[in-house]
Amino acid sequence: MEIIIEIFKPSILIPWLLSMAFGVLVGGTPGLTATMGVALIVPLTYYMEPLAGMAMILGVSFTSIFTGDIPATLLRIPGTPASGAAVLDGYELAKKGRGMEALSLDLLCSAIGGFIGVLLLMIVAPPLAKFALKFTNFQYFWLGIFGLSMSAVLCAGRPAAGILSAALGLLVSTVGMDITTGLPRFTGGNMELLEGVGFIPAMVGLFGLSEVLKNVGSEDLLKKRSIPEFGKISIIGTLGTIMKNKLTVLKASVIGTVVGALPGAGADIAAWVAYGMEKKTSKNPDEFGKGSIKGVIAPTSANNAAIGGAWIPALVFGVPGDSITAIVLGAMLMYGLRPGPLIFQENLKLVHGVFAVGLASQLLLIPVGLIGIKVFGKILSMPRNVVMVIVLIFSVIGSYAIRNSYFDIYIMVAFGVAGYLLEYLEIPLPPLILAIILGPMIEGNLRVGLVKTRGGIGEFIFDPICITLILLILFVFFGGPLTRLLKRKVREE
Amino acid sequence: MKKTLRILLGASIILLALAVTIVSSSFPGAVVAGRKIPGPAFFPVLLSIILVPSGLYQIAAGIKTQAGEGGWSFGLGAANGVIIVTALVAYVLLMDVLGYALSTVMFSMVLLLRLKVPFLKAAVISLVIAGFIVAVFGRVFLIQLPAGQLGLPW
Repeated sequence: MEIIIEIFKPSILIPWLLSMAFGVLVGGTPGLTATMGVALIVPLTYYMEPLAGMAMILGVSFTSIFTGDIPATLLRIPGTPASGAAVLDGYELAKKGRGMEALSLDLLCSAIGGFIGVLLLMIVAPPLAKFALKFTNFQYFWLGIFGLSMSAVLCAGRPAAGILSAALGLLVSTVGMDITTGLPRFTGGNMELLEGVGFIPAMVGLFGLSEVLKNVGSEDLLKKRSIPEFGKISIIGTLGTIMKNKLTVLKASVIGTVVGALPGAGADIAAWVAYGMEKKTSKNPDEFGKGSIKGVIAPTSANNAAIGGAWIPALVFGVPGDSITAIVLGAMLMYGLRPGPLIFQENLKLVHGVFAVGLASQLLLIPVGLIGIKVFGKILSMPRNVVMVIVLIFSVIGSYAIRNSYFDIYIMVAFGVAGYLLEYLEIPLPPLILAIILGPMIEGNLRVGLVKTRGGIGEFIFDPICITLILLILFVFFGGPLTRLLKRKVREE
Repeated sequence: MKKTLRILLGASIILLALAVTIVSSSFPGAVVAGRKIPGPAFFPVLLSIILVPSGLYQIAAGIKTQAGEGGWSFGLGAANGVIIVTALVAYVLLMDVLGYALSTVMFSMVLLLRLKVPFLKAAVISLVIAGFIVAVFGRVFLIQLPAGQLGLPW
C-alpha cells in the first residue's frame, strides 16, 4: 500500500505522465524507435529520484510500443520495429473501415499483455532468467532459425517465397564489418556501410515507400481517403471481443514474456512468434493476413508483454533482455544502483516500486493511448494523395534521423523500390525484415558455436533444447501438409 | 509483365549468389590456435547455396506464370512511381544545398501538385509539415537537420 501511495506522488506521477505523452509522439512517428525514446529520456532523469527515472523509462517503453501500432494499422508503416507483425491484419482491417476497432482492440490487448508481462516478471523472474541465461550458442542459433521459419512459412503461406525473402534478408545482414574478424564485407569501400545496412531505413523503405509506390500507381486509389471509414471506439464492444478471445490474449502474452526474457530477442521477435503460433494453431489460418481479429490480438498482446519479460534478466541478473533494458542498466548504474541479484536485498523498495509502476502504467496506457489514437487518427485520415506525400517526408526524415546520414535515405529508397517489386512478384516482405534483425544473432552463434566444437555439428543437434527447437522448425515447415495428408487418409478410410 | 519479371528475378538471384561466392572467396580465412575456423566467408557462402535453388524455383514459377497474369496493375501510373523516386533523389541533393526546410517545402509542393492537390492547399500543407518536422525533430529531439550551403536556418 505504501508503495502505491509513493508512486502517485506528484514528483513521480507528473514526469511519468509526461514521459507517456512523449512515448505517444515517439512511437507514432515512423522512424523513431522505442529504444531511441528511452535513450532520449534517460539524460532528463539524471537529477530525479531513481523511482521517478524508472517510471519515466517504463512510461516511454509501454506507450511507444503501443503507439507504434497506430501508423502500422492506418498506413502500413510500423511506428517502431515491434509493430512489424501488427501491420499484417491491422492494416487489412483499416482498409475495410475498421481501423478504430483494430486500434481499440490493440490498445486493450497491449494493456493486458503489458499487465501479464509485469505480473510474470514479479512471479517467475528468477527461474526464467536462469533458464534464459543457460542458453548456449547452438540453442540461440536454432531459436533464431525458429523465429525466421515462423515468419517465412506462416506469414507468407508459400514456403518457397518466404525462404527466398528470409535468405535475402540474411544476406543483407552480412553487409558491413564482420562480427568476429572485423573484416569489411560487401561494402564496396563505402565507409557508411561498415556498420551494416541500417535496419530502420530498410524497414521504412520496405513498408512505407513501397506502399506509396503501390498507391500512386492507381488513380482510383489516390482519389480515396487514406482510411475509408475510421469507425468508432467502443471499449465495451472491444472487451466483448477480448473475452471471446481470452485464450489468444493469454497465450500471446505468455509467449511475449518468455521471448522477451531471452536476451537478444525483444518485442519485435516476440510479436512475430506470437503471431506465427496463433496462425499455426488457428482453425482458420487462411483468415490471417486478411484482417483477422486474432491476427491483431496476438502480436499486440505479445509486444507489450515482452517489455516486462525483457526486465526479467535485466533486473535479476543484470543482463539486458533487449536494447531498451540495456539502456535501463546504464541508467541504474547512473542512479548509483547495482543491477543483479543484490538489488533485491539492497533496494527492495525500488524493485517493488518498479513492479507497481509497471502494473499501473497499463491502466494509464488506456486513456493516454486513446488520446494518441484520436490525434494520430485525425492526422492520418486525410485524403490519400496528401497522406502519401506526408508518408514520404516522414520516411525521409525517419531514415535520416538515426545517423544524420543522407546515405540512409538512399538505402530507404532502394529498399522501397525493391519492396515494391518483390510484393508485385508475391514475395513476402516480413521474413526479409526479420532476417535483417536476426541475421547477426544467427551468424554469430553459428560461427562461435562451430569454433567451440572445432567444426563438429553433433552439439548443434544432440541437446534436448536443440532437438525441441529442430522439431518445432520441422513442424513449422511440414506440420501443415502432414496434418492435411493425415486428415485425407482418415477421411478416405 | 509478371512472367518476365519473375524470370528476371530468378536469374538475378542466381547471379547474386554467384557474385557473393566469388567475392567471399577473396575473404581471408580465420585461424585460431593453428586450427581453421569458420571465417567471414562461411555464412554468405552458406546463404548462396540456399539462394541458387530459390532462384531456379522463381525461374520455373515464372515460366509457368500465364502471360498477362498480374497482381496490382504494374503499368498504370508507373510514371508517378518514377517521378517519386527521382524526386526523392533530387530532394536529398537539394537538402545539401538549400537546407532541410526549403527543400522539404519544394519537394512536398511538387508531389502534391503532381497528385492533383489544389495549389493553395498544397502550399499550406507543405509549410505545416516542414514547420512541424523542424519544431519536433530539430527543437525537441535535437536532431541536426541539414542546414545546406546557403546558410539558411535548416
